[in-house]
Amino acid sequence: MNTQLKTVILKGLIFILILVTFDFGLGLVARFLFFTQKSGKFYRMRRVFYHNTSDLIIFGSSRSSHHYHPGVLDSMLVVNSYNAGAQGQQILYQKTVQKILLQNSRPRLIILDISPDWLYESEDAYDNLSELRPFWFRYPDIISPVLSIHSKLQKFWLYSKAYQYNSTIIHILYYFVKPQPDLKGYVPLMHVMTPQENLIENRVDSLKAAGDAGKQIDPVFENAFREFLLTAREKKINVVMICSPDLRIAVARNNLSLQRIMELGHLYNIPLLDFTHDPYMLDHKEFFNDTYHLNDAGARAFSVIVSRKLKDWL
Amino acid sequence: MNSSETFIQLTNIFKNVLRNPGLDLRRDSDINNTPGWDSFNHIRIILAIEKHFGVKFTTSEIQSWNNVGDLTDTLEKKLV
Amino acid sequence: MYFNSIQYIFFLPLVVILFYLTPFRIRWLLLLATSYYFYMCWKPELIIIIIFSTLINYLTALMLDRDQEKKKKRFYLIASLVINLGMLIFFKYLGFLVEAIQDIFDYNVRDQVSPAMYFIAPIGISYYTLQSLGYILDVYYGKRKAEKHPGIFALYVAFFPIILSGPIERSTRLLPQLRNSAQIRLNSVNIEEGIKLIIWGYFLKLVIADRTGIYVDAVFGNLSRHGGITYAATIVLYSFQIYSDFAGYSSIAIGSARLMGFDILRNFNRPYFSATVGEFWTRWHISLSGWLRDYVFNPLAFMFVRLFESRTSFRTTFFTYSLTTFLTFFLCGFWHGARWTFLVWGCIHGIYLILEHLFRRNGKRRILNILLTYIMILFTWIFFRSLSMHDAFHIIKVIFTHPGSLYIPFDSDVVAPVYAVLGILILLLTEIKQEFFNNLFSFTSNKNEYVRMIAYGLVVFLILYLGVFDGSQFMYFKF
Repeated sequence: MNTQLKTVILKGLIFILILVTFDFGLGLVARFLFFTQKSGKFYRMRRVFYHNTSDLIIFGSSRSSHHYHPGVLDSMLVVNSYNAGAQGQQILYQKTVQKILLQNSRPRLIILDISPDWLYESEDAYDNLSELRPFWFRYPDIISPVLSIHSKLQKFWLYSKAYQYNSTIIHILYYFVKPQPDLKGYVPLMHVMTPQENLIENRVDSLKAAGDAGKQIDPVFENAFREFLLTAREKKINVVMICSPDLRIAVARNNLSLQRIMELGHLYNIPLLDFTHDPYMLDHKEFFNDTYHLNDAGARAFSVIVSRKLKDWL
Repeated sequence: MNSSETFIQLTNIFKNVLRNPGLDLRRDSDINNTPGWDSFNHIRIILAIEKHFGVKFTTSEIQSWNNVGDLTDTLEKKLV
Repeated sequence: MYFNSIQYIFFLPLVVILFYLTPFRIRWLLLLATSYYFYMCWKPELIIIIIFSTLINYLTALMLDRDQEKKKKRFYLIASLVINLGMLIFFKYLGFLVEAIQDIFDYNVRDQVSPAMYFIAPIGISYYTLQSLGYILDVYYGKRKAEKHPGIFALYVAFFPIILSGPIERSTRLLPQLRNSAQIRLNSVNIEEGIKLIIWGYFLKLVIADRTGIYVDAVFGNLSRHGGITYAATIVLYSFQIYSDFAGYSSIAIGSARLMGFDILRNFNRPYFSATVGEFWTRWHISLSGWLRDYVFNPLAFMFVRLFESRTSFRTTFFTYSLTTFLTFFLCGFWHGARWTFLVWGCIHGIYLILEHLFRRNGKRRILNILLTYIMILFTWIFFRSLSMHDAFHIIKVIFTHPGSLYIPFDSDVVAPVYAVLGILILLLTEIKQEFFNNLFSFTSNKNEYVRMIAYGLVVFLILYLGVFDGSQFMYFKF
């Protein structure tokens, strides 16, 4: 073997060694920093996964994180609740989180806050799953398959610790500088929407809905939905699906995705409480932060309404 | 005119147009490695050379040069 | 196959290893086969266009060599220009031309042209067309002889590191290297340089370009909602996005070629440190500006000069220069794509250059000149990024009339611009160091190879920790 070849191979091996060392060493530092977070979205995820002793868990996207006030629920229903809502996350995420959660705990009731277009194809739904990466090392069997649906080589990248903690440093710094209060997963919004904002947003939303006209249902999402319902049923945990109040005029009641969700509800005997056009909430526009999120006052009011209905299942 | 004489005159033209009396022009000098030699001055340099030596270059000749050396060779052929 | 796809991470080392294992004399064949494979990963059918283009140009060059008669040579040249440019215009600009005719003449062309004719431009066509035309012109002008080996010429056209988005190489530089690929020997300097360029390219692309793109796209996707400060900030971010995206891509291309011992033209040289717009064009997309200067500007300029025969005054020269410059930059804008905003972008640069020759700046205050030049260029990026003239004017108007407040997205989306700024800071520090303090604090040029390897290792860690991995295309593919 000529000497140049030997040199290149040797140097190459040393370089790879340096890469692995950096990834491992600095990666551990990244992991350590990640788990020092005492507030923020990753902290809330940790609370859901580890040591969760709540009787009532609320799953959903950002709507759920802003709409359900555990303080109100706790006092009205005499339970210990936790809001596991996560911004931008759809059913694949919810299913995964449910699986992890149910490994270690057994709540009495699960609320699944539904967005009507959850079953429609969505790139974001897959992309946002990247928030699960930092927890992969704890739950590889559950998280790996979900991450691999869209990108088969995620498995390959996940061996790098740096990659596992990719895109987390800014959150760590942000929550360090501006800690969020720990309200059992609830994230309050304080703005009160003005009528002008309402108009503008509805215009934008109509355009978006028009663009959504030809959308198809993603079978992967539908299966994930079934799985979610069936898993709960297997473990004999009650599930209630809820549609929270929504000011978007363009949200069609007859959209395919919502219809399918309702069908699945009937099929598995899971009740669906539909507050989308709840007259009391819609009458009080001051409860809204924007066309599809309630503010703090709205969340409290809504939680009272929901609590009254939930008494039957607890 | 012998070739080093030609080259000296050439260098003076460059120095003049580029306003750089300390310019060190070589055969491998080109528009990329000579400070001040940009597309604007390129036109002026060629015109000045044509005027000074009383020659005319064709577009093909101009386009065929890679560096000052090629320019000098073409120029010398014309001066013979 | 994108450069930042998983496939390329496997493809490249494989090709490099095969390159050094292949018997020297058929290395060109390996490279040609892998280049065609690389290109066909996009859309297999498109290879036909490349093969057709290669054939036409190969034959044209041979005929140019063989027939010395001026009339015949001119005929071959024009035929070749018509075919090459014809294909380019047809594929890239048909849609635009139809719309333009419609707008200008108010004549309904669109209904006459069936949708099938709005082809998606075969990727890379803008680049390999110019590279091939450069070759034809070099042969025509007698700069070099025609390449007789069809395989080597085919490789010149399709060489995978550069075919998709450049750098646009010259026949006088690349063809000899390809011909002599048999002489290339494995050496650790090439490998290290190549890896270093590739790592840096990925850093630029994944950590800076893609991050910045998220925020920029969000603002541009919602144009009526933002205030002037947001637009200003967005354009600044965009200036870094386009730079990192393109420079990153070029770096990976050059590095990939370097691994196999090929030396490809540098495409960027810290462009935002230019003291004038003229200097900017010697530092930005160097392969394109050089190509335009040598094959468009020069012949045109001298043609105009001959028109004004005896008048060689400074004023005439200046007029010739201005006219030619403006035309060249107009073409430069047009080359970038079928949009009015590209044309305007090009023309503004042309005007800048003309003005700079009219009003020479005080060269002594370099830092001030750099800042002024940067702002002048920022202004042109408004047009470059906007999809329509209406959007561009809207942005300009709002910047000066309604500052508003800075748009900071909700919760997790605030992440993107902050990462972008972080990445840009690292980039700026690196380039400031290279530009002004090149001899101090050398990490990647350090004499000790272990210090260098540690530096590379750190950059790789940063790429994995801060980069965007959810797949997005290099921007310049659209050209």
